[in-house]
Amino acid sequence: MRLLAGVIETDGNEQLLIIEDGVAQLFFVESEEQRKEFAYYSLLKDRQLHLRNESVSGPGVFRFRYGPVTAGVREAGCFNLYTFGEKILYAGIDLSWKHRRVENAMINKTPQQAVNLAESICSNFALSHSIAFTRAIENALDMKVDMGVQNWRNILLEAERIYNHLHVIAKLASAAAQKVLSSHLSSLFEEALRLNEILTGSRYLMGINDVGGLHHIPSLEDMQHAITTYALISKRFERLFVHSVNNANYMDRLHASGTLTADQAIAMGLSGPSLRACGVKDDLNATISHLIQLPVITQNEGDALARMEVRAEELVNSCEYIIDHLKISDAWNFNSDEKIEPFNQSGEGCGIANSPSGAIAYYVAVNDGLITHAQAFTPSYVGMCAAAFSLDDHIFTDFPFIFDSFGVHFSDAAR
Amino acid sequence: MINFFWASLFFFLVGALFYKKSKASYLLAFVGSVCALLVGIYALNHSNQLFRMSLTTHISITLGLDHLSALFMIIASIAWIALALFSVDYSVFYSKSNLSLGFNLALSGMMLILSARDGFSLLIGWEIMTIFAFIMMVTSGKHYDKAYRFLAFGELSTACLLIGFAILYQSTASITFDALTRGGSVILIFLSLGFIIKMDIVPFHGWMRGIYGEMPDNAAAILSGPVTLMGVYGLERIIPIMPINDSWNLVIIILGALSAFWGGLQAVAANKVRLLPAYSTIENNGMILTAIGFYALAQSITNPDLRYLAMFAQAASVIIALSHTFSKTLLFMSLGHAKEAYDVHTIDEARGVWSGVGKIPALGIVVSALSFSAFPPLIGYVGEWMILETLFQSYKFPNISTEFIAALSGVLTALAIGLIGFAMIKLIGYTALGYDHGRKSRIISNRFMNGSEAGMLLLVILCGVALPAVITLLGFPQLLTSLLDVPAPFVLASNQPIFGVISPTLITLVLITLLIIPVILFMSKQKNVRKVSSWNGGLPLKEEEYFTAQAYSQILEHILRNVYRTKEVRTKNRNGIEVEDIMLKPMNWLTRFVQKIGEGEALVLMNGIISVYVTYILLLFIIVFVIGMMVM
Repeated sequence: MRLLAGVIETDGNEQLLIIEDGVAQLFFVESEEQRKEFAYYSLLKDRQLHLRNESVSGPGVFRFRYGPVTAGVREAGCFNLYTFGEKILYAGIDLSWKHRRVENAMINKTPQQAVNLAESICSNFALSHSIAFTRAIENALDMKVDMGVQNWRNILLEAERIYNHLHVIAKLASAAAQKVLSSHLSSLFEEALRLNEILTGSRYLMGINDVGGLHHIPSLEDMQHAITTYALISKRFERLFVHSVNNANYMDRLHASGTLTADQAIAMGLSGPSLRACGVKDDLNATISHLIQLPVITQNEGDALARMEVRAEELVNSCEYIIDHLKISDAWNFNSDEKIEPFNQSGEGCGIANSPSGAIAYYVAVNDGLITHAQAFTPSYVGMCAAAFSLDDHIFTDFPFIFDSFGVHFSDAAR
Repeated sequence: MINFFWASLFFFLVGALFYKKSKASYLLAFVGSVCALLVGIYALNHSNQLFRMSLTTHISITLGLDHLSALFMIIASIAWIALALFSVDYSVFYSKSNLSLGFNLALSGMMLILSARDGFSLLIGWEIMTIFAFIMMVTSGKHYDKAYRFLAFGELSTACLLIGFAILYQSTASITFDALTRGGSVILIFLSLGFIIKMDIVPFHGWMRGIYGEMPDNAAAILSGPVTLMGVYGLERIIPIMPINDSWNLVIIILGALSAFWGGLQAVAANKVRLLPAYSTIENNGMILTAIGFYALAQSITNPDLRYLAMFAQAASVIIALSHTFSKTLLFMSLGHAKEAYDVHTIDEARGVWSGVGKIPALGIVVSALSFSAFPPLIGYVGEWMILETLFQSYKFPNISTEFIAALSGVLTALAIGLIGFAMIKLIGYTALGYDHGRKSRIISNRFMNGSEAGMLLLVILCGVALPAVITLLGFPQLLTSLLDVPAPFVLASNQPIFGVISPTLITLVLITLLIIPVILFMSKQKNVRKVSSWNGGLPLKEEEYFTAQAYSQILEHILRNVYRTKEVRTKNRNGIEVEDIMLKPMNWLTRFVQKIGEGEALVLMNGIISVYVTYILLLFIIVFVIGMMVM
């Protein structure tokens, strides 16, 4: 499938960043037909901070403003929910409270300095941002990263996926008042974060990745610990998950909540678990070469339950992926801590990473070793639109199930 | 006493004549009402015949007063006094209409009803009250179609009474109230139906939905309080003296309970300033009807255990009637004050009465709505406790069907009380205590308005606090007793030996000691407290971000969507939900049917062809003549 990841405007020219068959490429816009191919083109081009900014009126209808600083909304973000009581008639999202202009801050920075800024866009997706950004820089400056670094990046991306998926599923359990389940999942989440710290020195996988390589590679002992811990996490999670899906009450809260059809998901430019939960196979796994292929997990229902099921299965697969890679690390883990130097000092390029919630894409232009243009396209941006759309016509009780099931973040969407 | 009675009628009639000078007209109504109050007070212990004029050998117009009529005259006249005073200021909004004419003559009609001693006098008073209440409704010159519905129900009520008294005359050759002791079940059913219709009992409430929001506030208050009180009076007048019919009593009980429940249910969904109290009238009158039915049922069984219950049920009906008349008058006056000051119609629009309009109307709304929500020690609390205590004692009845119907009525009544509490909290929370969004009301003369509201407000509180005095005044001192350290007469008991008790006076003392004094002390030491707006996500709330009154009740409308027939409206420019009162369907169907008949008649018989029209008139004449001959 062809996924429009971003729209870039440089010197009056418009380029489309399109991912097709796992390959991200830039295309200059030469005809209106190119734009019309993607229903969400305007969304990506305008990059509005007020998503779905219309209003609804009628007798008894009012705008229930949820945020920007309130219990229940974990970040500085605001929902504008139009309702006449229990039913959400129309949902809009205000991202402006979290807009930090991170991309602007990258201008005139060296790529190495800008990596930290990319990581700071969203802590939960810090590594994905970092990798997408460094890949963009590496493409722009024609740097060839060796297999060891690539594999470590893939492993760490799966580590990020594991803790994020655990976080999302724990939030869903908590919203349904499944306190025992959410406590167990939170404990696994904490295990995953501690393991992150052991492997990379950061609970949120920050500061490990750099342009052209990694700052350091985990020791053999740590790798052994990771194998044991991920096996344990996978085993414990599977047991919990099987147990939880037998709880009709819990399933009832998720089933048919925030349903999207495949056509709607594609038209909104979704990627990642939210798209795959609608039965659409994306090719984000194919964006880089793997030693061991990851299966693409899909579900057909397109609701909150399907999104959770996709994440659950991916979580187990990610654990296996890491374990399998680490077990054969002797075959690929050499010279990985040696960074390669850039071939050019100027250039432009794009890079993508398969984050826990979909494709993160970066476009960068570098001149004489300094960044002159940077744009980040995040899964939370389109995910927020989809979440807001899915909230329409649901009651307030469904709100946390729908929103949390998309696994999106205001910081990621607002940049 | 006679002089005051005639003086009262005289002031009402002169007040009607001065309708062009509306302030003077209402002041005359006020004087007339004061006279009526004095007559009522005097007649409490001095039954007397006021007037008698023979029309035929068997038919005469007889006026007089006894304890019961005096009691209802006191209740009604207090409401009239308050409304007349309120209308002096209110008249500026309808100064060029004949509203005060309708007001004065409707009051005189009620005077006749309360002093009537025979069917003929009663019917005269009944018609005067109905017609001039209709006149008050149409003073705005609009909504005639809706007002005609009221008139239709009013005439249906009159027709029932007419039939009842006609059958009475046929069987006893008299239409005096004394003759009612010899009347049969059919007379009982027709007469009580006539009164029930006037009480707006479901399904006879069909007229009110359209017109209540459109008529002047003093007219709405008259219709909701004193006019429906006349229905209660009628029932209280005939039920004790007419032959017993247990089946009809059970029908009355269940009809009352159903009405109470339905009124409560619809009040919850009402979002217009006047519609909510209007449905609360149905709820209150439903409870009164149930209490009257229970009284009649208990009275019919010769069991000493039930004698006390009968008296308690009768007292319950009178206490609720009193509570309803006072509290509803206060509520309509306070809401009317706020509504006119803001010039709005919906509960949402009338927000912030406390800060935007005035503290007295706001307190009026709070106190009256709390009274309807059975908040101790207010009089509404006493009435609602009494009806529930009455129904709880249904186990004393000897047969299972009575017990079942009483228990079912108890469930419906308890639900009704809960629902009304829900609705009244909405009313208080949005109108009286809501945020005014910086709006200021238009400046209106409100001296008389404030005075009448403050007076009624104190009365609603005092009636609860000084319950022993009220119960004694109503003629039920036997219900007062002592318990533990609370001396007589400060305990109201629902049975002897004691089944349940309350003492609003004691509650007042406890409230003052444990709540009001500590709160005053606390408030007096709050000089250094910093006041800030409540946290709303870090931003001040805009007007369109406030939780609406409709949203408050939407959850119930959603859960009970099959009862409310909840419909969602979703168009580009208008979104919302609509609910309907399905009990209005038969009336709406009937209205459409009559309209079609009328249109058909106009098309076929009154189409300009003289020969057809003359044939039609002749035919009608022959039919009327034949029926008349058959009846004679």
